[in-house]
This record gives sequence, structure tokens and C-alpha cells, in this order.
Amino acid sequence: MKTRKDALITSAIGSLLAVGAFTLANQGVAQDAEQEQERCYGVVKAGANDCAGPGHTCQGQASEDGSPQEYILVPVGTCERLVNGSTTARTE
Amino acid sequence: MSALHRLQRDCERAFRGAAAAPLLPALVGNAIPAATRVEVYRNNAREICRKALGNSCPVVEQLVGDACFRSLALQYLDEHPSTSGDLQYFGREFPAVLDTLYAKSEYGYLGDVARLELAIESALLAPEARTLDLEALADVPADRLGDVVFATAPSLRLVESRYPVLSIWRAHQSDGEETVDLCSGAEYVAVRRAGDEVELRLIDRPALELGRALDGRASLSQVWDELPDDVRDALTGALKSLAIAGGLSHFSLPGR
Amino acid sequence: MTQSVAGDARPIPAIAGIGLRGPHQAHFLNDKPAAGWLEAHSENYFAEDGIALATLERIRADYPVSLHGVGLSIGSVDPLDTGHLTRLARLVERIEPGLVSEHLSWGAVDGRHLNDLLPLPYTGEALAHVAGRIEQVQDRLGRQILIENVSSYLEFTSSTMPEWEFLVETATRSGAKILLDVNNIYVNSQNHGFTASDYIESIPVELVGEIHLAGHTVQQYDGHEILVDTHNALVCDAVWTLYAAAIARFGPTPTLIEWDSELPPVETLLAEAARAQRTMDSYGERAA
Repeated sequence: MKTRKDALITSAIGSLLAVGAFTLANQGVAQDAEQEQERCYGVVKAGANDCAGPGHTCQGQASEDGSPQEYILVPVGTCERLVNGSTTARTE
Repeated sequence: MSALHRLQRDCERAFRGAAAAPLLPALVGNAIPAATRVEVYRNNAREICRKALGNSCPVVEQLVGDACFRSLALQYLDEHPSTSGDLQYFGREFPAVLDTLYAKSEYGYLGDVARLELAIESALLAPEARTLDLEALADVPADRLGDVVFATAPSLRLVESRYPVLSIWRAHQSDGEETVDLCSGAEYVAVRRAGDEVELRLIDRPALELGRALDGRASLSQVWDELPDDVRDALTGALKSLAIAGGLSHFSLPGR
Repeated sequence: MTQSVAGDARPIPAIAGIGLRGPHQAHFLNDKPAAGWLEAHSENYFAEDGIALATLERIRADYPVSLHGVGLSIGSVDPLDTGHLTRLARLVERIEPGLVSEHLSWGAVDGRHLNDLLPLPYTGEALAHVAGRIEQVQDRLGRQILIENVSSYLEFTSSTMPEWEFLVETATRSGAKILLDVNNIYVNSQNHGFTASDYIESIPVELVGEIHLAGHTVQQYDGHEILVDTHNALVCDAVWTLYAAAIARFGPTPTLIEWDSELPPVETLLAEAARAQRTMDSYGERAA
């Protein structure tokens, strides 16, 4: 007798076969309605070691004194564009 | 310890921001004092760290802003000094550092955004996947389907977050949306290399859990035994969704 | 020590080239702008199956390529990182670069890396150490390398010879050639108060295999001006003058325009390379 496990495995592999070779071979162009897709950089990504060129201070920085750092750990960038943040934190 | 070793050790401590006093007598001081010269190298060390992290996590950098990111980089440098001459993997502990700082705050998503960015970077360094051979899969006898061993693509990285992490990432690309609703729920992302690019796809939680369970060694039947019940129920959709995301690279059938 | 490079390796011609950086790679792949040759940072291509190396292999079909290491920490007292060296050796095998270069500097001690190019004291101890290490690297790679003078912002009281003597002695003892960074000479001459032309006049002509040019920044530290080798600007006039003196001494030499931060369009780099080329061309005319 076929178990639930056998039935679901058979169904899962069957669904793969139904997807078809064309779709799998062309994932880049295939658009599946259920799935959102995004592509990014690739060859244009800066190498991590480029800044490690001679000199290294890759941008002119003002000198700092030797006093202990005061860390500024409160985000002040584009975080404000993410709305309902505190609600999310509370619901967890 | 050799004189050269002692000198390099004193330099390293001074440049990393610890006491410069032991080094100063070893330095020429003239019109420009030795302590000022040490400052240049201290500044370099900080900048190298900031640039390396910013190169890996540009969205986190935008999210927190320059001043905060610089402070985060300094803290990171203290806690996780570089252990390699290759900066490619320098930021790997950054998500955990962000979690520690922000997990209980309204900025709890920062660690997951960093995780996604590191996943993208790591997919860039991974081999391209083969395409799953569906003809061969169709030839597997019906009574052996449970013995099939699937392997995920070598570049596949799976990122889960209780925040809409892909939406946040996307909002920071050049053509992104202006705002993101943090209450829009959890997102599960499949990241993988596709030719010269990296592809990011939203998947569902069963697909993510299945992807993590397929290790190239366990058969589908063995994988099934370890899966939670809700993932078992969703197996068909999950396997298909992983395949369409390019997450499956090949399969084997022991004994064949 | 010197061994001929394998098969279809393309030598770096004695003309001007530019540094290859990630954001420009697609342009070189697709549009193939006219550049004499390209130099890549070795460590960025260490991932053997990654996109970057696959891209470099394609670019290499169209341009002579040299490899320039930034992370080997050749002057460090720590044992040479054999993993790093192995990855470099594999990359050299794959790319067959016309030239391979490293820096005369150190960057790590006791396993902690600063990922910077830090100066050595110019002592007999440091000289013996670094020359031995260069030999190790050349033995592992099976080829001669070039060793580059770095910019520095401090000097050690223990130094017993000038920087140029240390550079020449290191190259002579190890059998390496010199990659002479003319901007670094200028930066150091300003930061430490020596005459830059003395430096150039002290380098034996036959030792120089490549020249680097880059932009630097004048920065204020506690009210003092220090020149920092930022690689984010045009080559300054004083460095062009020094470069002309270098070409007059060494003759046409593979010359690289380096730019790492605030990267401009490729055209800006090519214009800088064209200026270096004119300097070499006018030397050729005078010599003829």
C-alpha cells in the first residue's frame, strides 16, 4: 500500500518533471508567476581588495585625535524609510 | 623575539588603536611628530575596515548612515581583527555583531540585511551550477523515487528573516521603492549565481527548509523523515519552487 | 631564478596601461576600449570558480594582463601564508600574467592583519628577512617577481640605510626586479624630507621592470601636512615631472595608472595613460 510519504515524494518529483527542462535551463529568462526575482551586479561588483591598494586610505579623512571613540550606534540613514518598525519589534 | 618582530608587534598595537607609547621611541620625530605619523596609520586601519565592510554590505551602510556605519566598523575591528591578507571574507561576522547590537531594537532587521548581502557576495565567488537533468530523472523507476539524492547548487544561499529583507534590499537598489512596510511579514530568499550575475528570489518557508535539508547525501526519503509536518505537506510546491529558483543542480540514485 | 613564462603568456609591453577594477570589467569585456595592458589585484581573483576569475580569463584574451598582489605581507615576521601563496600560484598558472608583483612591505604580525602596506625598518636584519621571503615566493611561483616601493608616513630610528638603498639591495639579493612607484617616491620625499630625484638616480637602470603612477591627497594631521597615497585623484604635476626624469633614466618602461577609490570612467584613466605614453614617446624621439 502506498503511504502518504510515497505519494508526496512521487507527486513532488512529478511536479519537477512537469516544470520542464526548458524552464530549468533558462531560469534567467523564465518568469514564474509565483516567484519574484531580482538580478544584481555580477561582473561589476567592486573587488574587496581594490581598496587595499597602496596607501589604503581610500578617501581623504580628517585626522582624529587619540581620545577614545564615541560610538554613534543610532542609525540615521535610510532606516526612516522603513515604516512600522516599532510595531514589528513589539509583536515579536 | 627579534628586533623586527618586536617592532612589528609595537606597530600593530599602535595602529590598531592601543597604546602608541611603546612604539614612539622607535620612530623618527622631526617637523612632524611621531605621534601624528602614527595617527595616519590608525586612520588607515579604520578606513580599510570601513571600506571593506561597506563593500560587502552597501545597503546596511545606507540604512544606518555614514557616522553610524563608521562606528560599527570601528567596533567590528576591535572585536574581529582581520585574519587574512585577502579582505574578501573580512565581514563574515558582521551580521552577528549587528544582531547583538540591534536584535531587540526597532532596527532588528539590520543583521538579516547584512546576511543577505554577504550571501550575495559569497554566491559571486561560487561555481556556476549544472542544470538538473530532467530526462534522467524521468527514467527513475517509480518504486525508487524515494532513493533519489538531490544536491543543491553550489552557489545557493538561503536567507530567512522575520522582516521583509528582500524588499528592504530592493528598496536600496537604483530603481527601488521609496518605503518598505516592516510589518509586511517574514521573507525567505534564495540567492544563487546565474552566469555573470547573482539572482535573488523570494521563496516560501517550506522551500527554504527543504533546501537546507538537501545536502547531496541524504535521499529524499531520509530527508522526508527529518522534515517538520507542514514542510512535508508542502513538499511538492517546495521542490518545484527550489528547482525554478535554480537551487537544484543534480541528483544521483545510489546503485545506478 | 628567472624562468621563461609558459605558453601563450602575453608579455607586458613597454607602454602605458591601467589598473583593472571591478566596476570597469564589463566595459573591458563588451566594448574593449584601447588600453595597452591591464593590471589586476591578485587577491580579488582567488576564488577559483567565482565570477571575477571567469571574467578576468575572458579579458585576458584581449589584453596583456599583469597581477599585482596586495596581501601577501612579504616583509612580515610571521611565516609566509602558504595558503595565500598557493592561491596566488594557482592564479598565476591560470592567467599566465606578463608580470607578477608584490609590495616591499608588511601587513600582519602574530596572525593579526592590518591589510595595509606598512614600511619596514631599513636595516640589515629586515633586508635579509625580506630578501629570503621574496626568494621563497619566486621559488614557489617558478618565476621572477617585481617588488614595489610603498608610500610611508613614518620612519624608524633603527634604519641604517636610505629607502632606495634598501629597495635596490632587496632586489639584488633576491633576484627580483623593481616596480618603481614614482608617486610613492614623491609622497615619501615630501613626508620624510629627501630629494626625490636622488632616489631615482640611485636605482640601477636594469633593475626596473615596471613603473606605477597614481594620485595622492594632501591631508592635515594635527596641523601638519602629510601626503597620503589615496589613489583617488589625477597624477599631480610634480609626479609627472619626476616621471619624465624616470623615463629619461630608465627608457620606455611598462607604466601603470592606478586608481582605486572614487573611481572615474575608464576614459579618465585612459587619458592619464595617454599622457604617460606621450612622455615615453618624446623620450624615444630624443633618443633617436
